[in-house]
Amino acid sequence: MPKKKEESEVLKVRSSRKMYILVYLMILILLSTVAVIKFTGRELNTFALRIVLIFSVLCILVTESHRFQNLYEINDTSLIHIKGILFQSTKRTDLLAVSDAEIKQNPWQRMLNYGTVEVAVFSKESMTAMHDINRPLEVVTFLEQKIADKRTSGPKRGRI
Amino acid sequence: MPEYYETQRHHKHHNTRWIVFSVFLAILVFLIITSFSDKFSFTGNLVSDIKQQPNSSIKFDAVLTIPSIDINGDFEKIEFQGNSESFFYVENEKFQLNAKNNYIVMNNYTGEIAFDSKNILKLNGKAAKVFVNGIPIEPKTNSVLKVSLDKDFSYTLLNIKNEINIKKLSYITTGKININNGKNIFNLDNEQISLKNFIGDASAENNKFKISGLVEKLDIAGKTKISLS
Repeated sequence: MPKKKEESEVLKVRSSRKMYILVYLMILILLSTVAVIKFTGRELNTFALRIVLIFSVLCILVTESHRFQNLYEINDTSLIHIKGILFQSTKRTDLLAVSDAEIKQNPWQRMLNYGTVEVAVFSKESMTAMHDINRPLEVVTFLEQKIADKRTSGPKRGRI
Repeated sequence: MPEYYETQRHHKHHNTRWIVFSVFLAILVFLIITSFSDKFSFTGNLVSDIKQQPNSSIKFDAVLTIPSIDINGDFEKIEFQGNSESFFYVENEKFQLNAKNNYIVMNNYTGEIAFDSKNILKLNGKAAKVFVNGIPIEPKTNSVLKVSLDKDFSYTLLNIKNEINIKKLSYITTGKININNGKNIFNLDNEQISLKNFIGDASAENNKFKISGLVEKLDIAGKTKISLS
C-alpha cells in the first residue's frame, strides 16, 4: 500500500516520485557526462559544471516541493485533500458521498504502476483527483473498503 | 474535475516539461562543446574574426628595446631559450629548467604570455605539440597539452610567430622603425611610441625587440612628433 497505513487504517499518500523519473534521468545524464569528462582527463569548464550542479539541485528541490504540494488522506470518515505548503487549502469529501472512483493511467504510468485516481461524488458538483499516486488500484481498493465499512456501520458514525 | 481545467493543467505540464527538457539539452550541449571541443571559447570566434579583419594597414617593421608586455591569443609557434628555477609543466609532467640553456618550442599555442626585457613572467595556455630540449611531447588523450611556468623564466631568445595581436602598446624606447617597406624610416632615441592594433610577429633577443607586421595607428612623441594612421 502506498505511503502509510497506520493502525487506525488511515492512508496518507502523496504524488509518486516515479512521475519525475525523466527529470532524474536528465540529472543522471548530466552528472555522468561530467564524470566521463573528468575520467578522460579533459578540461571541465567550471561555468558548465556550475550550471550542471545548479540545474541538478534545482530539479531536486522543485520536484520535492511539487510532491509536497498535495497530500491525500483516506480515513474512516472522509477523503481529505490538503493542497499547498505554506498556504494550505483542505478539501474533505465524505465517504458516503462518494459515488465512484476512476483510475487514469497512460502506458508509461501503467508500466511504472502509478496514476491518477478521480474520486467522484453523487452530486457530480465536485471531484477529488489524486494525481500521480503510487499503486492507484490498491488505493481505490482501500477507498472502496472504507466506503463499505462506513455504509455498513451507519451514515452518522464518524462524521465530523 | 471539469474537462476545461484538466486540459489547462495538461497544457501547463506539457509546457513545463518542454522548458525543462530544453534547458537540459542546452546544458548538455554546452557541457560537451566546452569540454570536447578544444577550440571553443565564449568570445573566441568573435575575437578571431576581429583579428582576421583589422583596420591595421600600415606596414611596420621595427627593432626597439623590449617592452613589458602581456598578450593573450593564438600563436602558430612560440620558441624560447634560457633557464629558470621554475619547472615547465606540460600536462602532468614537469621539466626542470635549471640547465643553462633550455630550448622550448610550442606549436599552435593558445593562451597567455607575459614578458619583459629579461624574463618570461607568465606562461599559461595550451599547445598542440611541445618540444623540450628536442624531446617532442604530444597529447595522449586530448588534442592539446596544457603548458605553464610557475616562476619567471630568464630568456636569451623569445620568438612569437603568427601572430601577435597587440591592441595597445605605449612605452619609451630606442631603436629604428621602418614604415611601409622603407618609405619612412625613423630613428628613436628614448622617445615615446604608441601602437594601436598591431598584428604580426615578434622576437626578443639581446635586449632587442623585433616586430614585423601591420599596425592601425602609430604615434611617436619625442624629438620628432609623428602620427600615422
